[in-house]
This record gives sequence, C-alpha cells and structure tokens, in this order.
Amino acid sequence: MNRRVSFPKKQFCPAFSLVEVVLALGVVSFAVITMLALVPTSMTVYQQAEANNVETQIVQKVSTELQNAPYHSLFNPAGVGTNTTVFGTTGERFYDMEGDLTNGQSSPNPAVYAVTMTSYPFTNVSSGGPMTFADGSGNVLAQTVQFNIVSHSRTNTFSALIVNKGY
Amino acid sequence: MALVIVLFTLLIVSALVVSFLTAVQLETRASASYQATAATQQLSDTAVNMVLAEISAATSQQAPNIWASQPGAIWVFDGTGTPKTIYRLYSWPSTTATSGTSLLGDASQMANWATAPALWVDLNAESASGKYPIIDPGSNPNALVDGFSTNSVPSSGTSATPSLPMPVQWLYVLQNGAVVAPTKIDNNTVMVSGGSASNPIVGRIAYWTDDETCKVNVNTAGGDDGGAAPTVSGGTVGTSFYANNAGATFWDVPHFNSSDDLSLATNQAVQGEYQRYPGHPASTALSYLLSSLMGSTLSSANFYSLTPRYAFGGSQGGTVGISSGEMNIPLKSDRLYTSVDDMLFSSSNRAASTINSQSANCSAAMQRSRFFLTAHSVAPELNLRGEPRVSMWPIWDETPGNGNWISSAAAWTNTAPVPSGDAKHMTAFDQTLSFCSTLVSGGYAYPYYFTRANNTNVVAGTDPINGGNGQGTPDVLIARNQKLLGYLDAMLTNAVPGFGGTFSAPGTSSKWNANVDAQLETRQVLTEMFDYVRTINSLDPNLPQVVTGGATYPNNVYAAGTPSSGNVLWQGISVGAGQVAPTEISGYTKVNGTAWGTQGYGSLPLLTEADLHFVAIGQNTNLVTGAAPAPVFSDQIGYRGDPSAGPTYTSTGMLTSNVNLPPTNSVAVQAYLLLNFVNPNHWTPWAHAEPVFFVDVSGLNGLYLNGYPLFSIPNNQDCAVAGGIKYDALASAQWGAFDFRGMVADRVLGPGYDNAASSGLGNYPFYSNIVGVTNTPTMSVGSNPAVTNALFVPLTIKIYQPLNTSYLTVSTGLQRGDLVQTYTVNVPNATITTPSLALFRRIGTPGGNGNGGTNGGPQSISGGTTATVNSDRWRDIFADGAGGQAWEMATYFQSGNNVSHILAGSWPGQDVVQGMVLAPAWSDARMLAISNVPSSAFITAPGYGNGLTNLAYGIRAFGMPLPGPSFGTLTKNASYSAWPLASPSINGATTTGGVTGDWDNGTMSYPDGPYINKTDEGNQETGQGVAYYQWNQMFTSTNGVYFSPNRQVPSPVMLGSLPTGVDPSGNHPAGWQTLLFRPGPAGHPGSTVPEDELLLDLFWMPVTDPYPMSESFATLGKVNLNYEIVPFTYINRSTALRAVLSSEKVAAVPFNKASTYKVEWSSSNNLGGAARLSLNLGSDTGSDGGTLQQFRDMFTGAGSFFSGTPMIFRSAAQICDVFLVPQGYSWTSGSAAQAAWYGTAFAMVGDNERERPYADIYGRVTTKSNCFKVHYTVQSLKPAPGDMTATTCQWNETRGAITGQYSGSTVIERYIDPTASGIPDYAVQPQPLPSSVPNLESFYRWRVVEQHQFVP
Repeated sequence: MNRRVSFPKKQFCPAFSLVEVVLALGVVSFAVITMLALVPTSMTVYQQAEANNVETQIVQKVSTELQNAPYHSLFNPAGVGTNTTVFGTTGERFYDMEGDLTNGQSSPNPAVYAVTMTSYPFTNVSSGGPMTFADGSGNVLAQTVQFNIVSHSRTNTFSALIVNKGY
Repeated sequence: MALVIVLFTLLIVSALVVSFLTAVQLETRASASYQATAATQQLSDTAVNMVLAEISAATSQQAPNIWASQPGAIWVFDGTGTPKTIYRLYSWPSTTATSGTSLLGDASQMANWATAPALWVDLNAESASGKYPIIDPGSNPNALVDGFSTNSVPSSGTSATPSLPMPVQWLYVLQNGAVVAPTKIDNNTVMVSGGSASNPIVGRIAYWTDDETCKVNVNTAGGDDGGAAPTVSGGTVGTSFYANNAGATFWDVPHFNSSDDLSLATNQAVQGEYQRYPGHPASTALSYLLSSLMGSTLSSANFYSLTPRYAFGGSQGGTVGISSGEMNIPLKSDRLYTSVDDMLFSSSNRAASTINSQSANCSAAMQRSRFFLTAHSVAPELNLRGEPRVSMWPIWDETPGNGNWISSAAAWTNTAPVPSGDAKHMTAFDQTLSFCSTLVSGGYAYPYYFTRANNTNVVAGTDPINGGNGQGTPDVLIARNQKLLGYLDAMLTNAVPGFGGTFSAPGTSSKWNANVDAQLETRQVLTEMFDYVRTINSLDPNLPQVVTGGATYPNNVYAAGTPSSGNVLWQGISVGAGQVAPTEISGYTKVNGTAWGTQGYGSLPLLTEADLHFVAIGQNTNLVTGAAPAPVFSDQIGYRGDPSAGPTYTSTGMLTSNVNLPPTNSVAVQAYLLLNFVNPNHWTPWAHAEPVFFVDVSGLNGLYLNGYPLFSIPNNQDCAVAGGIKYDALASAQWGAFDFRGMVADRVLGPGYDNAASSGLGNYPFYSNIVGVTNTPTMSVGSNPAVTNALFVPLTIKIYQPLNTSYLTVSTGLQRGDLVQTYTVNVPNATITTPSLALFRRIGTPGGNGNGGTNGGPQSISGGTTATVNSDRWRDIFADGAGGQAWEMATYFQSGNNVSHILAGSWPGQDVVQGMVLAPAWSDARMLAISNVPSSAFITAPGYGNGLTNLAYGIRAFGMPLPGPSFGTLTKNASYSAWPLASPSINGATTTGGVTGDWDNGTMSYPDGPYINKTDEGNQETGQGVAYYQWNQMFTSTNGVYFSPNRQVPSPVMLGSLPTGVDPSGNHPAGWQTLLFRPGPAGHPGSTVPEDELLLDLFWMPVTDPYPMSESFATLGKVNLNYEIVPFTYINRSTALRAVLSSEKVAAVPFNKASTYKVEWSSSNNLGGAARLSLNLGSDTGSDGGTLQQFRDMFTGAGSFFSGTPMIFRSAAQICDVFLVPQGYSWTSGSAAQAAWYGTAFAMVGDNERERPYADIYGRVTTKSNCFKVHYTVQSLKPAPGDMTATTCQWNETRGAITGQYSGSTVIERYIDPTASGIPDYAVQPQPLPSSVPNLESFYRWRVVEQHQFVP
C-alpha cells in the first residue's frame, strides 16, 4: 500500500538572510562604531572640561593663597624686572584629580596636575609705554604670577595679579 | 522587522550616545561658564588690584614728595608743590598724567564715546530694569540733593542718550596677565599690543575709583536740620536754609553780647549732644541729605533713630534752653552700619528702619545714596613727611616707678611701656586717645603725644640756674617729650615737603621776626605749642572725685590746687587751681641736651604795668598839729596812723578831732607799689584759675620823694600772691588779667597799720614811708638827688612760682619756689602832682558799719552837698588814717561796683598814680614770655611826670575803664566800653609791618586782649547766672556735664593765637602777630612761605567720643577738600563738603559796635543784628561769589588766587587759605576778600573768632583718603581665531565672543597696624629720614571692607 504520509505543511517563516544580517550588523556596527568613536573625543572634552574646572579651582586657590600670603615672603623686592620663583625653589606644585594639593605621584592621591608658577613685575602697557608699580624705594608693588598647569598631556596658562597689601 | 530592530537598537544606542554627548556638552558649557565666571572675578580682582597697586605706588612717597587724592586720581607733588605724577584711578590709555591740565582734558575725549564700543564703556550704564551701577541721576539730577549737579555731559554720539554716562576706556588683559591699553583700528576693532595666538586676549577691564572721603559717613555724621527739608535748585539749596543754620547746628563759645551768642550760652550743647560739639564729626550734616535723597522730610526724632550713636534731646539743635534737669543725652550703643544699604534696617533691632518704612521708594533712594553716603571713610593722620602726627591731647605720664611724680630725670627712658591705663590719672578718654597716637614695637610703646605729670617747672635740687628749690621733673624733661619736641624741631629745620620753604633754616632770619634767628623763633613757637597742649584739660572732671570741707572736687588732676579750707573752695575750685608754670627750656631744662633758650606761657600771669600810687593820708587844714608818733625822718614832722588816735570826722566830712596831722600847708604822703598782670592763657570763665606765685621786688629803696627816701624796703622783698584766698571772683584772673586787685585784695600792711593779717598770705609789703611834703601843686619823685646824672630808678621785679603744687596750707603759708621771670622797670625822675586828702569820701553812714558806708547811696560830702557815689575807702590800706580798717580794701573790691571811684579819679587833685606801662613794641603782653624782660619793655604812661596829670596809668578793673588819661585800643580809634587789654601806649594793634594785628576776643563780655585762645573746659548755668555771661556761672569740674576732649580741642587750629614774634633775647619783640590759620591780611608774616598753616599738619586731635572714631593715626568721617571728580568733571558733587561747612558761621562785629558788643550780660541784642553769619556756599558752577567758587578756581586753575593752573589741595591745612564767605557777601578776588574781612564790618572780630570756623572745619577735612571704592565692569573675551596671528591679536566687537561680564564695586581701605614689626621710632630719627628708614606710608596694609555686585 502506498500510503502517503503527509506532514502538516510548515508555515513559511522567512529568515534573515545572511545579507540582511550582514547588512544589519553592518549598519548597526557602523552606527555604533561611529557613535562610539565620538566617545573618546567626548570623554576627552569631558575630561578637559573637568580639568578646566579643576585648574580654575587651583588657580583660584593659589591666587587667594598668594594674595593672602605675606607679599615679601613670595617675591624678592630687589628682583625688579626679573622673574622670581614663588613657592620655594622648585617652583612646582602637584594637585590630585580633585584639585587638592598632593605630595607627588604616589597614591592614594596621585598627582594629576603639575603647576609651575613664575612671577614678574606686573606690566601695564599704557600709551606711555610699559609701566610697573613701585613704591618710593623702587620696590615692585604688583607682580603678575603666571601659572602653567600641566595635565592630560596639555598645558594651560593662567595669570593673576598679586599686589602688596602690606603684609 | 529586522529594520525595526536595527533601527530600535540604533535609536537606543543613539540616544545613549547623544545623551552622553549632551552631558559632555553641558558639562563643557558649565565648565566654560564656570571658567568665565572665575575669569570675570579674576578680572575684577585685577581691576581692584591695579587700583590698589596704583594707590600704593602713589602714596608710598618719601619726603619731599607728597600726595593727595580726589575721586578718580591721586596726585604726587614734588618738594615745591609742582605736580610730579598724577595717577589716574580709572581705566585710561595712560595710567598717569603730569599736570592738572592734562587730567582735566580727559573729559573732552569722551565725545561720541558710544560709537566706539571696542574702546569705551559706560560704567554707569542703565540696565534693562532701570538700575544704575553708580548713580541714578533721576529725572532731574540738579534737583536731587544739595551739591550735586551736572553740566556739559558728553555726547554719546549715538541715538542713545544716557542720563549720566561715566565712560572710561577698556583695558585689555592678555593671557600672560599683561594689561594693555589698546590701539584703535576702527570703532569696533582694536589692536592689543603683545597679544598673539599663543598669548591671546582673555578679557578686558574698565574701572573708576571713587574717593570715599568725598561722601558723608553715615556712622559719624549727625548734623540735623531740625526737620527742614531743603528745596534743591541747580544742585544748591536756598540761602534761607543756611541762614537759618539748617543742615546742622552751630556752636561756639559765646564772645559777644548779641542775641546769637546769648543763644549759644543759654542753649548750649549738653553732654552727649555731639551733633553740636564744635568740630566734632557729628556736626557734619546728614539729616537734610537723607531727607533730600528720600524725598520726604525726616523729623529730628526719626533722624536720630537712624544714627547709631547719636540721640535726640538736650538743646535739640540749639532750639531750647538748657536747665539743670536736662543735662545730658543717654548714649546710644547701636551697631555701626556696614554699608549704606544697611540703613534700611534699624540699627538696634534689625527691623525696618525709619527710612524703610517712610518712603515707598526707599530701595531706589538708598541705591542713589551710595554716591553721596558711605559707611567707610577714613583719612590718615600722618604729616606731610608721612610720619606720625603729634596728638593735641595731653596724657598723664606713666613712666614706671614714677607714681605720681617724677623723682629724677634719669628715671626716664626713651620709651614707655604700652599704656596700661592708670585709673588714678587716666580716664577712658585718655586711654583711647593714647592708643590712637601710639605705635608699638618690641613691647615698647612709642607715643606721639605729650605727657605731663608736673604742673610746675621746678627742678629737683640740681638746677644751677634757678636754684633748685623745687621738686620733681619739669614736663619738658620727660624723655619722650624731649624726643617729640626734637622730632618736631628736626622736621621744621627742613623744607616743608610738597610746599617748599623752611621754618627753621639754620643761620637765617626768621620769617616771623627778621631780627631773630629762624631756629630760635621756631623753637620758641614749639615751646609755646608744648605749653599750650600741656595746659589743656588741667582740671579733668572725669577723674575720681573727693570730698573735702563739704565740697566735692576732682582729685589727681593735673592742676587741682589745694582746697585748704572751706572758704578757699569756691564753686568747686581751689587755690592754685589751673595753674601751670611756664615751660622754660634753658639752663638745666634742655631738649635732647640743648637749651633752646625759650619759654612758654603756662598759665602764670605776666607783668604788664608797675604803678606808684601816691596817697595823701593826712593834710592839715586849720587844726592843731599833733605830736605823736615820732617822725620817720628826723627833719620832718612825722605822721603815722595810730588806731587809737586817728582823725575822726563829722557827718559832713569835717575833722572833729585832730591828732597826728601834718603841719600847716603840708601833706603827709604815702605811696605803694601797684603791679598789674595779664594771663594770656586766661581761664575765666571756664575755670576760675587761681594764680599762686611770688613777687620779689628790688630797688624800691632807691626811690626818693622830694629828696627823702620813699621806701625802706630791702631788696628781694617777697610778696606771696594767691588768688582765691578769700574773694575768689575778684582776686582771681578775672577778665583775663590778674589785675592789681588780685595782688592787694585781702591784704593788710602789718604792724603799725593793721591789727592782724587775715588771709594767710601775709602783709602787703610794698608800701612806703610817710613823707611830709609841702602842700604845693607838685612834688618830685625819682632817684637820690645826691647821685648826679641818675635819671631813673631801676626796679627789679622777679616772679617765682611756689615751692610745690600743694600750694598752700593756711598753717604754713606759701613757700617760694623757683624763679620764672625777671622784669626790669625803670622809674624815671619826674615832677608829679601832689595828692590831696579825699576827706569827703570818708563820710556817710548808709553802710552802717562805721567805715564810711559801703555800697552806695547818696553820700554827704563836704559842704553839705550830695553825690551818688560810694564812699571811697582806698585809704583803708592805711589803717586808721584817712580811711578805716585795712581789710576794707579787699571788701571794696568785693563789691564790684563803681570801680571808677577807687582811684579817686572823679576828684582831681586827690590820689596820684604814675605808672610804667608796656612800650608799643611790647604792648602785646604775649611778648613777655621770656626769662628776662628788659627795661625797654616799659615806658611811662601818657601824662607821667608832666606835673599836671594825676592819673597816668593803664590799669583797669573788671574790664571797665578806670579814670585816666587814655587807654590802649586794639582796633584803632574804636570807642570801647570794655577796654581791651592793650597798653595805653598804642591806639590800634598792628604788627611791626603795620598789618592789622592779631588779638583775641574775650569770652562773653570779657574784654579783648592778647590771649592765646585757651580751650573751653566747660561752663554751665547755675541758676544764678547765664553760662559764660555772668560772673557766677560755674566751671563744670565737679560733674563733667559738658566734658568732651573734642569739645575742648576741635583741632590744632586752636594753636592759632600763639604769637610768632617773641624774641627770647628781649631785644626785638614783634607783637600782635600770631600763627596765621586763616586767610590773613596782606603782608601778614604768617602768609609768607612757608605759610603758618602748614604747622597744622604736624598735629591732630583724635576723636574718641562717643566711640573711637579715630584709630591708629586715622580718623573716620573726614571729608576731602578735593571733591572734583575726574575724569567726569561734568558731574559736580560738593555734597559732603557742604555738609561740613553748613554747620559753621562767621563772626561779624562792625567797628561801630565797639561800645556795645562787650557790655555786661543783657537779654537784649546789643549789636542790633546778627553777630554770626551763615556761609554763602554758592552753587557748583560759574563765578557766583560763593565760598565754593574758590574751590572751583583751585580745581580749574581759574584766576590766580591759588595757583593759576589746575590743582588740588595738597594739605587740609590749605582750608585756611579759603575765605569763608558769609551770607550777604560775595567772593570776587583774594584782595577784595582781604579788604572786606579786615574792613570795618568785621573790625571788632579777633584772631580767635576769625579762626574758630577753621578750627571746627580743619579737624573734619582732609586731602588724603584711606578708603576708595572701585567701580568696575569686566568682560571675559574670546577673540575670533582669525583675529589672532602668531604675533598679533586684535579684538573685534562683532567677531569676538564676550564669554562673561561682571559689574560691581569694591571698597578697599588702607590702614596701619600699630604693632607691625619694623616700624621705627620716628621721634629719634634724623630728618629728613635716611633712605634706609621708610616713612609710615610704607607700612600701610590693605583690606576689603565692602563688596557689591551690580545685579541688573
């Protein structure tokens, strides 16, 4: 007997073709990769923004510290016209990622920001030419302190005007 | 489906990524914003710090350079006063200028400023909400407040027309910190030198600095207008406002018998009424400013609810009289305002203040007020050399181990420890005043004030000159005093910084007195100053009180005297009270080893006249000659009073018994010496000073009368003199003179004449023998006829101070101390009239005491007629002679009436007085402040020795004219009623150069004279008399009701009556010229270079009451004379200076009032007009003749009165060059003003009253500020990349990005930490300071006292 066994006909479910899969993966990959490609840049921007904030904080801290410190302990009055290193002989300070002062590279607060500071008599370039402010004895009364902050493989420059407030 | 999934996935991923990126972006923006904010704050700090550095550079000047400030600039002058560098305190292409002309030109550059935004910015730009950062001009700036107006506001050049722009130029800031004035490319583009791509522009700043001393300080000012709200027109209130003394209230010691002065006496300021204390910062007007700014009237009560330390009450601005029940105003202790805005809240409980609740627009008003008011205005108290000023207030010396008195000079060191506050001798006032004037280093205090502990000038047993009979160390020998005198002396030996000229150039003639060495004359003036300070507050009522004899009086005060018994206390004052021996810097007393040869005044009287008073004590008529007693001279018939056998008289004056009378046709004559004194540092009526001293006379025994020895008195005959022993009011220094009555009052002649001494002073020794002379019209007096060629008899009169300051005990009497002065008085030989017996005044009985009557009533006289006179008892000095009992002489003086009868002037031919008075060159008694007064100082009085004139003398009593041939005048030909203390040898006091002389007005109705302007130590109405006006007013030593250091000493201008012509050698006195602290008459020696007023700069008077308004060498609330605003010269703001001047008045007494302006107290206005004129301040523009026109002329260089070129005031002392134009007058020129002020309309106004307004003003003004308000606008910038190259950087308004902006203001203050290390003791430094010694300007510190962000 020839008996035909019939099986229920399976409904057709079209599958992703390889092409589709490849294409989809390609599109997704391209899109994702493209977008992910922005992440490092964005991260860098983010880090820079954060670094900028921290650096600004550092500048403010140091500026305040300098402004409140005895002027003559910072600057050599005799150094008129010459750069004078502030904060000791090294002229360098380190700050961690939070912008707090740290000793150096060691943990737990590794240095992220290296700050070098130099000063020179403040110059006001007026129509009459550069002018510094000095007292009757020739001692410079105002110094420009320039901060070079190195972090994340870049260097930012800030400056502050520090004046002799008499202490 | 796949696509959907893919897309969905992509969506999710994208969302995540976008979210991340957004977060990054936000963070970046936040970071950028943060950085921009930080950058703008950094930029604002840069602006403030630039100003700070500029000010530091400008003010750290060493002599001879000086500096002065104004809103917007600080000027530095060289040693001659030429502008050297002018620091612009506003952002401008050039930080400095070299001339005022250049500075004033800045405003002209502002035309069309708004068209160039890359260059200009308006610091006062109105915000969208209608707010102004600096000053809201309102709809009509000229009606805003007194002293504020605008004119010729620069055009903006655009359609926008700001009401009150204040444009300044941008300064660009590079990344490396350089601040660069840009170079204009076009209106929107500028090139910034030094900029580049690697050093880009990071921001720009614009600023202008206001001078806080050009505003009224809300913590110190308290002048009230009593509720009147002025109507402002053109920036100036109406004249009637000031004419009514509105704005603030005036006070001065009464000097004239006018309604004005009567009100000053009856409505004087009480304790705590600081707003009426002359010269006090509280007298600066504030109430009317607030009313104007608020737009509504503040009542006095509401106004004083705002002032943190002043209260309403007392005289209520002089509007009500003061009775004993309204003596003081309780002190307030509210917190001081930290800012003007703080006034919105009550100073006591932080609730809404009167202002806050009164005005609907108070917030706007307070914002506007910031331009006129401040809570922080401080001015330095350094001299022109940048070194400490010396305080005017004396402090008790506290040298360790000293206790009360100094045992030896060696005990003193150069320094003293930090004052610990000796409660026994130092009040809280003293301690604060001490702190203000002290620098501390190494645990030692370096005080810059004079100390005192010894009101004598006697030396402890080692003085080879004066005999060393005293005790203690003279104040001048206190080591620190020596150092300070040396400090002042050294400074005056050098040219005056910033002005030029030297007071004390060695080897040159003095500018004051060409015949005297400049250094000697200057040292003489310094000695006078030292003594003046030393005698201030000598009876401090705030020290512990003690009760003795039922009376309370101050203890441990400098010159208390001795209350030895009940009757010596009179109104709280005791014998010797207030006496300070003059300082002598000679012999043993040296300054730093050098005897200057100078002398001060102290408060001892000076001898001004010596008279011989001849009295006929017996005159035979037709009676029988008696026999006893024996004659003094063998060839004469003697006559001597005998208590048991004297003559008696009938009720009609005829002799009834006849004993001891001289023979027929003869007269028994007796003479005695009268000495008259003047105390230039007179006290009355402020304190009844009771001089105590010794008079020692030699040479009387050389006088002969008709060939007979007149006196039998040995040389060096002493006579103790003490005022206040019995009849205080009469014997003391009344009327500024210790006149002859003070010496003879309450004295007797002793055995043979009197029964007993009654005063404890001993007998009066200077009486003569009784000489019988023929009853002829004349007799001869003079030298011994046996001596040929003797033309005169020299008398030597020495003045000694008492042995100790416990002057007197009744039991021991006085003991003589050290020699003070020696006078030589020559008595020329002369023929004089013969006295006759004044019998008829020995009659009458109304007094009922058997002494011939005491006080008035019609008296029977010889012949049965009557006359309305008191009986004369002058002869009472001769006991039982023609008079009665000896003590009656004093009694007579006590009566105080009809003094003209004393010398029998109404009966010619009776008494004869022949006197030696001061010569014209010495007519100014202040010239007598020397150790040895030569005989040339005295000449015979007019009429002396002419054989015709009975009375040739110049003495007076009670200021009233005694009968005599003439009296001196101070104002030529003036018809005085109260004759001034001028020698009869002069008619009109002038300097040696013929310039109108300097003399002082006496207080109330006291006569004018050569006084030195003693400070007012207080006076009160007692219920018996009007304060200051009547003799029974009271000095307030017992309660201190009116005590305040600043009321006594408003400022160093009080020194202005110290003479400058004293010649210590006695050869060339130059009288009637004093320190000139006002615009002087042409030719006054005080006007020559260096001008006297510059001496003011060496001194200051700290303000400590009601709270310390002075700190270490600085004073709050001072107002800058230099009110002109640069570069905004189109904005006029004289508001603060007007607030100072509004409380002042000018004395005006014309020539034709000489007979009425000094009469005894009367409720009527004897002047018939105002004696005090308010000021005509004028407007702020043009030549309107107001006082302030002189200021404008100074600022603009108009005219030549000041300089002729634009300048500012270099020293506050220059206020003394400004004529205070009174209402009704106009200022046109210096010469016209001189002519007017020294003309007839002011002829009776003395030196002290002319200078009094300046004394009140000087202490409240300055030319230097310690507080500055920096207004700024800053922007952080990001130039377009295309505007930067490797070597250039420019800014374009349209291409560049403004990343942040910040506007606001910061108040910075410079101050001195008195304990800062390294401050040298300037008193021991050579002058000028060596280069290694910085002046005090170099030790200033800075602090930020107020910060304000402008919120648009």
